[in-house]
Parts: sequence; C-alpha cells; structure tokens
Amino acid sequence: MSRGPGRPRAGSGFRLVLRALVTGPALRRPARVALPVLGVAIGVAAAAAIHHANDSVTASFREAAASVAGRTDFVVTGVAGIPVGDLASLAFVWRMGSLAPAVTGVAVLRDRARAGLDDRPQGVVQGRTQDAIDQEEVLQVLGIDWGGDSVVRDIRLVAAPGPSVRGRLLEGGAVLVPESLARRHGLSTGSVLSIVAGGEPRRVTVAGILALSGVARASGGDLLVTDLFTAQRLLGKEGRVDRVDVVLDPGVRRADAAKTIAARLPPGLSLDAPGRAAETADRMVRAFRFNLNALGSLTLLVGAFLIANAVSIAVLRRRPEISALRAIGCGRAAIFAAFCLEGLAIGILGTALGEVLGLFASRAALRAVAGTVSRIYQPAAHITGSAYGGAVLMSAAVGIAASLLATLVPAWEATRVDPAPAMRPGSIEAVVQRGLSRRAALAVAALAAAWGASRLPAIDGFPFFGFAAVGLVVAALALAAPLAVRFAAALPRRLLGRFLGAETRLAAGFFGGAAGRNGTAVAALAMALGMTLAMIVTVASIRRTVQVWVASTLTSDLWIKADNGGRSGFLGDLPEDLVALVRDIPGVAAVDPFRARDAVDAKGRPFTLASGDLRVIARVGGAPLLDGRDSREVARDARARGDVLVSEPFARRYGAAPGRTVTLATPAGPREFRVAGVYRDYSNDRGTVVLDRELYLSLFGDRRITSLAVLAAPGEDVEALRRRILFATHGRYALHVATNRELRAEVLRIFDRTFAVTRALEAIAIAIAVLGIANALVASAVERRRAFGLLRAIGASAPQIRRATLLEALLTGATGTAAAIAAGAAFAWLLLSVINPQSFGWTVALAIPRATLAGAAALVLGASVFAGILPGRIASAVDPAAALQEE
Amino acid sequence: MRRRVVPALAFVLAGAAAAISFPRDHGSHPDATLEWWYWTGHLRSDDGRSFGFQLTFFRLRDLHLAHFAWSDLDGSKFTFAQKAHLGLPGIAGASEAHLDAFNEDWFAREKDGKQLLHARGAPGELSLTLTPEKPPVLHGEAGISRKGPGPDDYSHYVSISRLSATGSWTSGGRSRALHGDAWFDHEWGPGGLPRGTQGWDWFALQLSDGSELMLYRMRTLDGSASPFSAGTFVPPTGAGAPAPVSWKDVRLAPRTHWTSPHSKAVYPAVWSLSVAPLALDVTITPLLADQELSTAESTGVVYWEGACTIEGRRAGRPVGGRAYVEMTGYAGRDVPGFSAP
Repeated sequence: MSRGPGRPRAGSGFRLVLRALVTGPALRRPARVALPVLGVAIGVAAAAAIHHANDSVTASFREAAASVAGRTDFVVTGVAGIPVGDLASLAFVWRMGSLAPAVTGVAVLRDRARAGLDDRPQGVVQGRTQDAIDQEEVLQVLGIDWGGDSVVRDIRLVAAPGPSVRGRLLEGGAVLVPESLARRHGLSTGSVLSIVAGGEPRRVTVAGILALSGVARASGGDLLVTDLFTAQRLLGKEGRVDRVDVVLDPGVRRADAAKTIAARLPPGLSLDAPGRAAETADRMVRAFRFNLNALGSLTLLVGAFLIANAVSIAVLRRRPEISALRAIGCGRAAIFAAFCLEGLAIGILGTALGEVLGLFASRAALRAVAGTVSRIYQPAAHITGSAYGGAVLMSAAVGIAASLLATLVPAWEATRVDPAPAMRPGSIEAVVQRGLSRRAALAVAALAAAWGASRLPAIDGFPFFGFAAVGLVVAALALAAPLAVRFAAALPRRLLGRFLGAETRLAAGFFGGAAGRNGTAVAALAMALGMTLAMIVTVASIRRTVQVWVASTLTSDLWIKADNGGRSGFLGDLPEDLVALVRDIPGVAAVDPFRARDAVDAKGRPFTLASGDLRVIARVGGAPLLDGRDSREVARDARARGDVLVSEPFARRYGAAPGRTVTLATPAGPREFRVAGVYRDYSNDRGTVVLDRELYLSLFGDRRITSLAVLAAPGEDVEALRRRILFATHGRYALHVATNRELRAEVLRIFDRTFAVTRALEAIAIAIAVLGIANALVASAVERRRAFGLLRAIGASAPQIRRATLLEALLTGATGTAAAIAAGAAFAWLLLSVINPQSFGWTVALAIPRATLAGAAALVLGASVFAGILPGRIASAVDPAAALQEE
Repeated sequence: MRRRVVPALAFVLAGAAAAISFPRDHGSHPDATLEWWYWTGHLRSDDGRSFGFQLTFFRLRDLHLAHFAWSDLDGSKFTFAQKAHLGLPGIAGASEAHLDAFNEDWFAREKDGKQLLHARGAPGELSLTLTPEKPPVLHGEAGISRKGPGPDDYSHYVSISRLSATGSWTSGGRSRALHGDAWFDHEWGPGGLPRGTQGWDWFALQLSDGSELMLYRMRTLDGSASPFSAGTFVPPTGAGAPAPVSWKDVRLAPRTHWTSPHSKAVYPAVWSLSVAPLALDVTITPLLADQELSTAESTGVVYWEGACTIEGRRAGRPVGGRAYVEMTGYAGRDVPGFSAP
C-alpha cells in the first residue's frame, strides 16, 4: 500500500509536531519553561507541606488514642470521670472479655534549675525558648492497673520486670519513664523526679525504664506510667478513673457485646468505639486544619494559573508553526495533544521539584502547625511527622492534574488556529476578544452561583459551601480577567487623551493587545493578592474583636492556674482547697473558681463544660451578652433558677437561645437546662456551657478547679497581692499567677502565633503570582521582538522601549491589584460573614487595617514593576536591522 | 532482697491483737502486706476420673493475684491460669468483713457456712461448694506462725484441714459433676522471706484415718531445715484438739528428684516422712510429676504445687491418704508473693 506524499505517518508526524511546538522551543529557551516549572514547584511544595502537617496532626491524634486504647474494643467513659464504685457494675464484662481501667492526665517536668526557683514563677522561664518548653516539658500521665493492663496496652520495660520494679510500684509514688526521657534527664531506677501535677509540686521515684514502643512511642517519650492509685493521687482524681478499656475475648461478637454492655452501663457512663477519642481530638482542630488546607490549595491554584499562562504564551508564539503544521495536514488532535503534553511535562517537572522542596518546607510547616495545635487545642499533644508519602501522592496528583487542566483551554485555543500561513503572532487575541462577551456572561453566572452558595448552611459544622463560593469567585476572576485587561488598557487613553506620551500609548497597546495572556497573569495575581488582602482584613477584624472582648471580659485582677512551665493555656487543674486559702489572703476581695472540662455531645462532638461562681459575674459582670442585656442581672437570675449561660459558638452550633433548653449528660443521666443568656466568647470555637459552681458540684461532684480569678480589694496593689499569693502558696502549690495586663497580652500573643502559618502561605502565593507577571512580560517582550525592531527602526530609543515595557508591567500590576481589591472584598466578606461564623461560630466586627492593606498592594505593585525590568532589557536590546529582516 | 524493718514492738502488738475471730478473719487484712487464701483438694468425677486442684487468691499490698491449677491425674495433664490486678471494685479485691475474694470473675466466698469457689481459664471452668468438716485450726501460737527470728518473720495462719467438696468442672464443652475433699489455708502478715532462707516445702496431709497434718520446712541456704520449721496435727473429729508438731520430732527426706523441663529446677519428688510422737511413718508420692507453675505474668515466680498420695503406717496400722505439697525457692530465690522489697 502506498502512502500519499507529504502525509507523514501518524507516529513520526506527532513527533514532528512535538518537536516543532514543544521540545524545540523549550530547548531553545529553557528559561521560559523554568518559570512555570518553578511556579508549580512552589505550589506543590506548599500544598505538600501543609497537607503533611495536617496529616501528621490527625495521625498523631490517632496514634496517641490508639496506643492508649491498645487492643481495646470499646472504651467506657463518664461525664465526670468514672466513679470507682461504678466499676463494680461492669464486673459482668469479665464473662465476655477484660476490663482495663486507666487514669490519664498531664504533669510538667521540672528540671533542677527551675525546681529551686519556685517562688519566681514569672520571668524564670522567659529566658528559655518557647519551643524548648513546648517540646520537652509536658508529660502525659497514664495510671494503669499494671497487674492486668497488658491485655490491652503495649507498655514494655527495657529489662525484664524484676522484683524491684514490682516492689517500687507496690510502694506507690513510683513511675515508669520512657528510655528517651531517662536518657535526656539522666534518670535511672531509683532516681527522684520533680514534677508539677494537679497544681502541686510532687516527687516521684523512677521504678523502671520503658522501651520506646507502644504508648511510650506514641507520646514521643514524654510519658509517666504509674499505678492507677498513684495517678489518682498525683492528679487529684481520688475515687475516679478516666476510662475503662474493654477487650473482648476471642469469638465474642462485638455488636452483641456492645448491646449487652450499653444496656447495663450505670447512668453517666457511655460506651464508645476506641477511635472516638482521636475523632474528638481531631474535630477540635478540624476548622483550623481545613483553613490551612484551603490556603495550601490556593498556592497550588496560583501555580496552575502560571501553567495556563505559560502554555497560552507558547500557543501564541507558535502560531506560525501551528499554521504551517496544519497546512501540511496535521490534525487538530495532534496539536491539542502536543500542548497538553507540554502542560503535563511542566506539571510533572514542577511537581517533582515541588516534592523535594516540600520535604524541607514540611518540616517548617509541621513545627508551626504542631506548635499551634499544642498551644491552643491540646497542650499535651505530641505531634510527630507522619509518613510524607501521603502528602506526596496528594500534592503530586493535584499538581499534575491542575497543570493538565490549566493547559486544556490554551491547547484548545491552539486547535482553532487556521491553516492559513503567515498569521501574525498575537492575532489569536482575536479569538479571545470574540469570546469576551461569553466570558463576561460566565463570570456573572459564577458570581451569582457564589452568592447562592454563600447563603447555604454549613454541613455538620463545616463551611463547605463557603469555600465553594470562594472557588466560584476565583473562577469568575479567571473569566473576567481579560475583560479587566481590556478595560484597563483603554483607561489611560480615556483619562489622559492626547496628553498621553508615546511610551504610555505603546504600553497600553501592548497590554490590551494581549488580553488573553495578560488576563491569566492578572487573574493569578488578583487571586493571590485578593486572598491575602482578605486574610489581612479577616485577621485584623478578629484580632480587634478579640481585643475588645478581652477588655470587657477580663474583669478580674489576677488569674491563678497550675504552673505549666510558662505555657499558655491550661495544663492540669488545681485542688479546691486553694480557693479558701486564696480567699483569706489579705487584699483579696473575691475569688471565682472556674472549672472547664472537655465534654462531648450525644454525637461525639466536643464542647466545653464549665462552671464558675455566678455571684462574681452578678457582681462585676464580665460576660458580655449577645443581646446586650446586663450580664450581672442575667447571672443573678441564672444562679437563682439553675439556668446555664452558653457561649456564642455553642449557641450557633446547637441553636441555643435565651429561654430555650439544652440537654447535658450528667452522672445521673441526661438533664435539661434553661439557657439564661448567650455570651460572646472567642476563647474556644467548640462552644461552652457555664453552670453555677454550686449546681455543677451537686450534679457532677467534680471539685477540682481549672483556674481561679481573683478580685483585689479597692486600692490594693496588684503586684503586691500577687507576691502575697505566691508567698502564701509557696511549697504547697505550684502556681502561675498572671495579672490582667499580662493575660490580655497573652491572649493576643496566642492569637498572632496562630496566624503565623497563614501569613507564610500568603507570602508564598504572592511570590508565585509576581513570578507569573514576570513570566508573562518576558514572554510578550520576546514575542514582540519584531515590533520592537520596527519601533526602533522608526526612531524609538532604547530607553523609550524600556519605559514602555515598564509601564506595561505597571499596568499589569495595577490591573491585578485593582482586581485583587475587588476579589479581596468578596473573599473577605465570605470569610467573615460565611466561613468564619460557620466554622468557628464567632461574630466578628469588621476592621479594615488601611495601612497594612495599602502596604501590601504597594508592595505587589512595586514587585510587578520590578518584574518589568528584565523584559524591558530584552525589548530594548533588539537589533532593529535583524528584526526588520525577520519581518 | 531487702526486708522491711519494723520495730519488734509491731510483732508484739500484732500478737497481742491477734484475737482471731470468724467470719471477720476469713476476710481481708489490708494492714498486712501479704495475704493469701489457698485451696487445694482431690476430686473425683462421676465417670470415675481423678483430679487435683489448687485455687489461690493472693494480695500483695494493692495488687491482687490469683492462681488456678488443675491436675488431670488420669489424663496426666497439668494446666494452670493466673490473674493479676490492682484492687478495684469489679476488677479484683477482698472483703474485710468475711470471706469474699475475687479476681475478675474468679471468686471465693462464704455463703450459709459453705465456701463457694469459682475459677475459669485454661484448665476449664471449676465451680465448687465446700462444706467444712472441722472447725478452723489456728497454727502456731493462737494463729501466729513464726517463720524466722526477725520481728517480721511471722504470719497469721488459719486452716480448715478438711472440707467436703461437690461441684462441677466444665472443659471442652463437657461438664462433669465432682466430689472430693479440700483443704483451706489463709495466711496474712508482713511478708518477706526470713533472712537466710531460700524457700519452703509445705505439706498438707489428709490421712485415711480422719486425721490431718500440716508441715512446713523453711529451707536455709544450705538446704537444711531452719529451726522455725513447724507443723500442726489435727486428730480425727472427737479425738482431741489440734496440736503443734515440733520440728525436732520430724524426719523428712526426699527419696527421689524430678527435673523440670520448663525451669530446669530440680525438685524433690517422693518424700519419706516420719513423726515419732504421732507414730507416723509414710511415703508421699506425686500423682503427677510435672505440677510446676511458672507464673511470670502474676507473681513472677516458679513453684511446684501438686497432688500427692500417701502410703505408710500410723499407730502400727497401715494408713493411706491424699496430700498437697508445695515447694518454693528451687527455681531461683523467688517465692510466691515475696517479691516485695
């Protein structure tokens, strides 16, 4: 069979197409490929790092829960712990399995240097880095029935458990410490350890050394294992255990056992699958993690825009080659495939590079995220890096898919190139121009859909539609960007008319003439900058709101909590006898013992159950109510009637409102409470229910306190009072006493640290976007070499060309910034009015930090002008003669 | 092994306060470091098979341990199970008011003057009702049994030397009715093995003439009997009161030995025993060679505790009987429960 002349075989033909359109140009100008590759790489690295950090948090929670749960089939927990007496009613379980009770808590390890400085709680730890404190000094305390615990947990001694280990454990007050902790602090069997547990300084003896496996490994070696009775004494939990693990005998059907056990549980106790604890811990940080993921995806999105940008530039540049190929009979499919392959190649290269960068970035991200999680949510959480593989797979898939997707539109545009030869580069813009009205319609539709999505409620406390709305705004931005470019290009002439200089006219012409390509660059910039501006507004608004709230809430003069090594948040609790001791110190007008404990609702969602002396609120206020009523009166009534106050996030989550009721699980079974008022609270997003202390004690019998607020007598020197309190409690308690001013500063410090990761991600997104602008400008400069040559030939000077190119950069940056401000307003509105209330349940008053916003915009504008320097050089360096010859 | 130093006064006070009364003193004594309730016995099933059993509830401070050993004498099979838990409601514990010790779902409790035992594990499931045939015996001086020269070298020691047993044993899906005889020991005290002692050999003999003999030999480091070795003879019902046996009158010697394939320890196997004042001259022979418990998971010690048979003469007439023998301290120096410092 004969082949027609000039009709290349499909295989070799495609290779020809590839060489002409992709590999040839890429090899000639590798820098042009390098830029989008770098963009994708940074995006992929950021996404991988964030994903890895989030993964690690979840995996660490799961591992910690799993190692404590061990081989357990079910976990029994109680709303106020499990009274030891209740264990008797579980005795029937022995017929089908085993019971392993445990007491859990935290302690702070005191090193020798600090142990001698007990009376100087403030300032002592300030010389040490916060990270060192966060990483090393919090120990989890696990008290077990060590005789029978091995049926459920993996707790292994380094050496065989000899008589001395058993003997020491039997004596009480002895602990087993992991190998790593022992090595770090030079501990061996018989060493005495100084710790703070339950607000009191304690000494425990090392009974044995644990191998770093099972529970010891999951805690990162920051663990004290002790007998259940010692743990009860250390943590002030006499007469209670925190959990009972149930391990079923082989052959017992889980479902049947669950039914039998659940039916016979005493009131106030519940039976859960072992994953529940990890799920609950994970839920606490879910909103935080989700926001991070969204931001991580943003950088990747910006990277994808860069690819679209690069490929569309390639399409534009190679129009003559495409025409020629089409003329010699090359099919549209081959051209489409060639450009797709280019996008794919850029995506794969960028992704590969990104994964390597991500390895380094993930360490920093993990540190930052783990720091936030342990500071805000789980003080004793030990977060270790999980396998990087999951993050690699996810980010690689997303990176390559995004690259391919980003290529589809420009590749499709390439297929529309007519086979007619000698078309000028840039006339594809005609295609873009023709599609403008359709783009406009689609952009409006996307915006309308975004608005619609913003009206939809959260799914299971999760603002899915809010984030969808953000995505739709991004889509609208991408669609409308060429329009914005056209509009902006026409603007100088319209505004300045004939006063316009030649360079400006030229620049506007360049800019508007490439609306398609510049549109992508503008969209990328607008997206990154817009999101950044929105985040700036959101963070500033929340910060301002918190500041105002703190001022109206923190009405006491001093706060006492268990010493936790200078950390923020609470670690462990305090014994009740401290209340009377502090109350009797001269200069103390009143004390408010506050108790907060983690609780879960019937569906396993976490919230905070708290109690305080409502008489103190009734006296000094300090719980700003949503409906503006006087919290003093409401607190007085609530105390008299046995009503509860609920925080705003709680009210949102459970639809609670004054006059309605909420049902709480109590040791005596579920009980309904009337809601007296909803108060503003930004200290936790889970939601809080506050009972009067007397009511709480009568129902829950939990007499420990979490913190103690102290009102000074009028005219009392607060500093002097603090010293008196520390003196009076010295030796017996280990306390941290903060003044009102310190606590306010502390709240804002925590706040700022929480948003540190967010800031880093924004910076990365902007950097990628500026890269995009540079890419677009370099490309257009190279592409317009002939035009530049012509201009030089008719008398334009090199500086003029340079200025024109810089002006084009400025126009691009300005258009992007203007679009960013519009998009940023939309993003900010979505974040503040939709996503934030849905995920955190907070009302936030809008605050616009004008200076910061202007600074960010100016920075980006400046960066885009800077990005115009290199293209300007390229443009002005064109040799007019050569260019003309080409023409 | 370090020993707790308790002033000699404590011993005197303990002795003075030791007005033992029941049912209170069948219950737990939390002030004592170490306490155990010990049942051994010989059982016969309806289908004519013979078994030996041991069920022990230990308490060492807050730690409650339990051992259940089963000697299938016809099947020549020895199995045991063990439990260890801190004393917590529903987990393990013992009443201070009367006999009521439990560990998981194993228990020993008194009801209407009878003792109910229940244990379950590798040996199968055992349920027994024990009816005392004799009143409790107080060993030593009014129930205080000296084990060594130190102030802490003593225990309160009470036995019921013969109980008739009925019950059932379920294993492999098959349940057998049982009947036989059992022996009950209850000891509590400061614990700790006397200085210079490596273990003990304990004998509980139920003779066919209706009498019983309890003997323990405290073994010194050179293998000889310490002067604090002692015993109690319980005559048949109606033939007088229990009487202490002085070690001077006891001739006890192993005739053969058995090497454990598990621990490699060498235990005496067949014993010759004669007690001159009782005109007793018998041979004690294990009904099964391997009745060794290696209880690493609970007490962490290895000991031999097994069913034996008795053959010989008493008061000039042939006598038989059943015995339980316990031998500790042959596999290293660890002794049940005595691992506390």
